[in-house]
Amino acid sequence: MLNCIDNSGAAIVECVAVMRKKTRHASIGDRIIVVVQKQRSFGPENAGGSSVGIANKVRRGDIRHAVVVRAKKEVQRKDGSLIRFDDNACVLINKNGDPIGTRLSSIVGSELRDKKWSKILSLAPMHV
Amino acid sequence: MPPTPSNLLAVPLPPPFLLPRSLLRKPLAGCSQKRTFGIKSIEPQPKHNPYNVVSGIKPLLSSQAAAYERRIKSDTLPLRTGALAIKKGMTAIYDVETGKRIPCTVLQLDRNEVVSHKTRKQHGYYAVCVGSGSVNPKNVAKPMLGHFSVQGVSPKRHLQEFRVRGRDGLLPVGEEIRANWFMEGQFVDTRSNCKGKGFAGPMKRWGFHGQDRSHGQSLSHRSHGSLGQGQGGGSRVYPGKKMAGNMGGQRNTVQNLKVLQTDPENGIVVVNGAVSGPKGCVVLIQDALKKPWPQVPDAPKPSEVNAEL
Amino acid sequence: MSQPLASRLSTCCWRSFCAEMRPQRQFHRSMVTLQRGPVQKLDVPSDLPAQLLPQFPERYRPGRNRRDIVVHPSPRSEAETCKDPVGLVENRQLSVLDPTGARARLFDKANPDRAKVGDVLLTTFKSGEPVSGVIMVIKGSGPHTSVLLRNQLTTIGMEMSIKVHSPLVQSMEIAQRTPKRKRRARLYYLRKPEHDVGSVQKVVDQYLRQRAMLTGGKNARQGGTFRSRKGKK
Repeated sequence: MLNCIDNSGAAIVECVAVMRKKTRHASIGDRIIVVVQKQRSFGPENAGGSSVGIANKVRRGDIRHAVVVRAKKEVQRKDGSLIRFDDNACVLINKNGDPIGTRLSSIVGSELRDKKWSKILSLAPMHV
Repeated sequence: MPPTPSNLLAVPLPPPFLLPRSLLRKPLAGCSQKRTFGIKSIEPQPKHNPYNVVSGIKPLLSSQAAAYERRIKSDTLPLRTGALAIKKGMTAIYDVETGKRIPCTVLQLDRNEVVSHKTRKQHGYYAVCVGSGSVNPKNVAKPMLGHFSVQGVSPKRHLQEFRVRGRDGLLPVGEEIRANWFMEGQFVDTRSNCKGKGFAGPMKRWGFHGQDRSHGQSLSHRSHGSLGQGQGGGSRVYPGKKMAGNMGGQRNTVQNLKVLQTDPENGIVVVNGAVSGPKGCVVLIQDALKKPWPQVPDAPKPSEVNAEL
Repeated sequence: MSQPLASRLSTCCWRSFCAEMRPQRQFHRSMVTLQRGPVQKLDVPSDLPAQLLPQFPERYRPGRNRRDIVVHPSPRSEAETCKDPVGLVENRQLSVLDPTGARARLFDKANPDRAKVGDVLLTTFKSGEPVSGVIMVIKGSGPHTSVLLRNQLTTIGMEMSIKVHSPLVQSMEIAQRTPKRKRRARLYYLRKPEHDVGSVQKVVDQYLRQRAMLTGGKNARQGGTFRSRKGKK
């Protein structure tokens, strides 16, 4: 179960597979396949009128690709430092690797840059 | 026209070391061997040649000499000798440009000297016997003490042979091997005895998966399963079957470790990564087999010194 | 007298008669041993005829060049010169990474003004991005010292363990000292929601503002947020 932090309409998704990895564990920057478990209620945003269509991009039960952007398990960097977040979070992408949502709500790990997810990185408000 | 000796010799023969000795002693033309009588040691009679030596035959492949040739051809013998070091511990160093943290092992060379040589002529192969450390002469056996005395080196705590490819690799006896024998950036192989693990089960020793926690298992959660087939497989356990037993404490080679720092003054060689064994164990360092041989700037050429070997 | 002896001879065998005589013989032998004395080794005479020499063991024959065992002196010992090679390698690393020793002093246990757990630490990387947080743990020693910082960014808790002597770290400053000495060495309880200090961004901003005032606004470039606030003032 991961939080989905973009405005694609999914709030909580469940990981069903990790792509291109022999192990069953994903870390920051890994592409996974998820099932949307909970939709985001876009009450305030609907009132704004800007993202009415966005809320319909994914629905509950959809199977989508996603990229892990935060992980509870610490990730080691090359200078020996570690980074660890308090939750697991991902961003939904389509089959081509472009993000479905247009905005991200919270920080992402900067390991995304090493794994060529700079599009997601540019959407994020902050990265550490 | 009957074959003359000069004609016969013109036929391409295998290299002389592949030919049996009886052939070398007498020319081929001397097939009509002279029979002699009397004391054999004074006038040795030609032995019966067990080989089918005729012109144009392929050289034997199962002889020691052929095996040596193959070894030379396969390029699996280092050009230079190695050194003996003591593992002092592990630390990490930073690459200042990239900020990368590199785990490394600190090894220390102590009074490494060439004690003796093994030569192809005398022993069948080329090797350099290197000694390191020092030992109280009181605790050295007389034959070894005599050996050190003759070679002109101090009694050594550890002695080890390092095979080299040819005569060029024989460093002169008494030559000291310092830490700058290894160059920064080159790759080395290290050999040492790994830590003993005692009597280990098959899961730890061989990575078996063990058996179920439940489903009716009794007293066999970490044991191996079947040892082999029944009637079809010969109804026996094959030699070398992986089972529980003593683990560790054996010679282990770690290949292709990069040399990060050397300090000849203090005998320090810092290599990238881990080296088997506890702190204080003896580690054999030699040029890596699976990398190109290092380019030594002023390679000592001891061949002139040991021309008589 | 001869009568009893004759009767004894007739009744006993010769063996018993010999047994009677034996003590005398033993006494005789011991006398000889006493007179013999220590054995003296003699050198092989040098003017011995050559045909006799093969009767001697080889080591006794004259002309044999017996070499004495010489214990050669050992060369200078590297192990004696350097007793602690690992420490030496680490110290060399430190002298490269931290030439002034300021970073090491910041975490030196003998220093009363050192950084302690609970302090708010502001770290700037060479890439320019600052990372700040409350020190949860100070781990390791020498070049391996690391601090674990905890912070909240966009309401998401984040922990980062930073190697103090990493060449990627530009600077480390204490933004705020802990008001009360912490009674734990490791503040892992900060992970619990009821103890979490939350975001330290305000503390860091205030510190940056103060520092800029002290240094005359030279370091005002440190944070964009600071400059905007200064403008408001």
